Amino acid sequence: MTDRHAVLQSLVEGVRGGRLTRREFFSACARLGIGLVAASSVLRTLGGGTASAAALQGPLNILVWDDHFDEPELKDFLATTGVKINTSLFDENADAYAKTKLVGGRQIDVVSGDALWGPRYHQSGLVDPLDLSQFESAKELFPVFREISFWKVGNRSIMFPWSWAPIIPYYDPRYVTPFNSYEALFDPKYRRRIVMEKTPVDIMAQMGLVTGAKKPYEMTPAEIKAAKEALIRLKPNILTFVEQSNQFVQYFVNGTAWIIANAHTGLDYRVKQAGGPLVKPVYPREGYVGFLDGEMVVKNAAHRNAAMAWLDHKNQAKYVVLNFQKQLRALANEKAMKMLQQDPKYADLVHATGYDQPDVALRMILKGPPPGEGLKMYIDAFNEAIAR
Amino acid sequence: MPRLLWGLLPLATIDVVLFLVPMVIMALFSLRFSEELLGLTGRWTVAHYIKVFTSEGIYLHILVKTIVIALIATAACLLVGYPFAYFIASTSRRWQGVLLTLVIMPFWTSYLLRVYAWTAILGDRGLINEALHFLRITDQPLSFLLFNVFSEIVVFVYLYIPYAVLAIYASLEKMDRSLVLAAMDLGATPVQAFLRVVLPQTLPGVYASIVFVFIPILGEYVTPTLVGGMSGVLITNLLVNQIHALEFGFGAAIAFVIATFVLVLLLGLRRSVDLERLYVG
Repeated sequence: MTDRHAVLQSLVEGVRGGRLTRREFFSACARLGIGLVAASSVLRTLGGGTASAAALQGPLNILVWDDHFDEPELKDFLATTGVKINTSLFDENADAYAKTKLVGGRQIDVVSGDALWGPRYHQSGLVDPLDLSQFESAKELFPVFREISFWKVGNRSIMFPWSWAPIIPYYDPRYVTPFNSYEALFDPKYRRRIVMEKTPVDIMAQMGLVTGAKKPYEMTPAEIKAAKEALIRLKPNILTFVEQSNQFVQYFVNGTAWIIANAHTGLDYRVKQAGGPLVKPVYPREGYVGFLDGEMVVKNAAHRNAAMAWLDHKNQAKYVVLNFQKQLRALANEKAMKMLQQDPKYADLVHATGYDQPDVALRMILKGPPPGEGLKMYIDAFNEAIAR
Repeated sequence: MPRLLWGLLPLATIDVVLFLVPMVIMALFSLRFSEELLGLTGRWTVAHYIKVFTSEGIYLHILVKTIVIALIATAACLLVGYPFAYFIASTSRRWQGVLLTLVIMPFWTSYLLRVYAWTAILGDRGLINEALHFLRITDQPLSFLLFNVFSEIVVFVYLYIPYAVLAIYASLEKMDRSLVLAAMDLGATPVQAFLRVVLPQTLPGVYASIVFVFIPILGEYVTPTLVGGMSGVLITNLLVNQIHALEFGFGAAIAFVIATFVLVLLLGLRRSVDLERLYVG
């Protein structure tokens, strides 16, 4: 092991001194039995240059949520590896699942997903579980996120965990009386004052909580019907659905919305940062759903090595810190959390968003696909409610 | 003859590849159960079509609502667009160039941005509400301006009026103006001259406007999503939700019902008027 380390060091020096090209570096690493991810990780420390493009084939195609990456890591990845990243955004898990199933690894290398969607992807043979120990940046994760039981396949994990947050209502106290139950949303005085993100399955699950469903993502037909009736009852109070949750801020800032019914934590700070009122979160007594998401590598990904290198790259604490500062919600990277705790500007926010309490993530009702025909029934019920 | 066939080949290829094949695939999807994602395995069924016309009547109801909204928006485009096109056609060549440039200027900006811009105009803190507040006409914002059918139609008219103006203008340009003068010489009032001479000659332009405005509105998704609110849900919103639920078969059936309606409409228009007259001198 020490010998291998010494050889690796000399290879690194070789690249630094210009005696080795990056292609030669990767070839030598392969001969030494050093995985590409580890080699990329070493190479990352060198910075700059694009000679490794031959070793890491690109472009890398990622199907991702817009809050899962920022420009700096895209630029740095291109500068370090020479691999360009094509990003495609999606809003609904089902949408990404369908696209992945349709085009697979030929067109998508990495896909984002929510908690229980991971097993669905794996059961459908769409993704390859990851050996997290191969990733340098996985060592920076909270231990609890390296051992998520429903993502485990042997020693591997279906997803590389990224972020998590409860999905809860927020209200503007200038217009709304404090409340602790979803029932308050139905008050006629909030007519056309509620804004929601258009996530049909999750909205139905939330309505399930309102109507007493024990497992809101596995509702029976009778429970779905009751949830639909609740949504119909709520409809007069809903002003509009937005496509992406980052649109919520403007609705609070310009005073159009009094309540956002399904935002993830940190919205209060984002609204304040944007010059809006100090809105308040509500943790409804009926419970709340939450997301715990991450990235998966698609089976037979055309650019698998680049995909692995990208995951290792983007999950470094320095980028996670930047992401937190922008999105203000909890992530899975512990090292980044500690860095943020040292920053007086963000120390309180780390606690307020629950970033320092990772165990909460696994106590939430996690997002997932309803089993069997459930997805179809949820969407039919949602359509029937909004079309009335 | 062979030369003509060769000449038609590129057009035929485009038609087959970009129109016929997708339509056939969509038809196949709509007639299969969706146990498998691609919907091309499993049993044949008409269940998706039955669902479109049953399902508590919601799809039919929203389809009819979509058609009515598209009709209202098209009528508004014609009512505003016709006089404007007439005005352009009556000005000098130089001014026509300027005015036509103004008509097409909105296309220089992204479609999405143009729709978004209306939220800044019609919103609670938008241009109109702020102006009304400034002029002390209202003390509370008029919330009915945005996120409903009204705002949806306003945005549709804004988005599609250039198509109506251009089509009607093209028709007015080809009109034989001496006939108008003759009608006036023979004692026709301006209204009579318009109704009996101008309008009949420009009907192809009006029909072309209907095609260019009405049909795209039937397939609109972005506008109802961004400014329609809960009351402005159109058929495409329901369709997209089904696609997200991986219900490709049912989604295809909804799309096919819309496509059939459009096809019938086009055939009807074709029987009513010779559209080629608009573009062939």
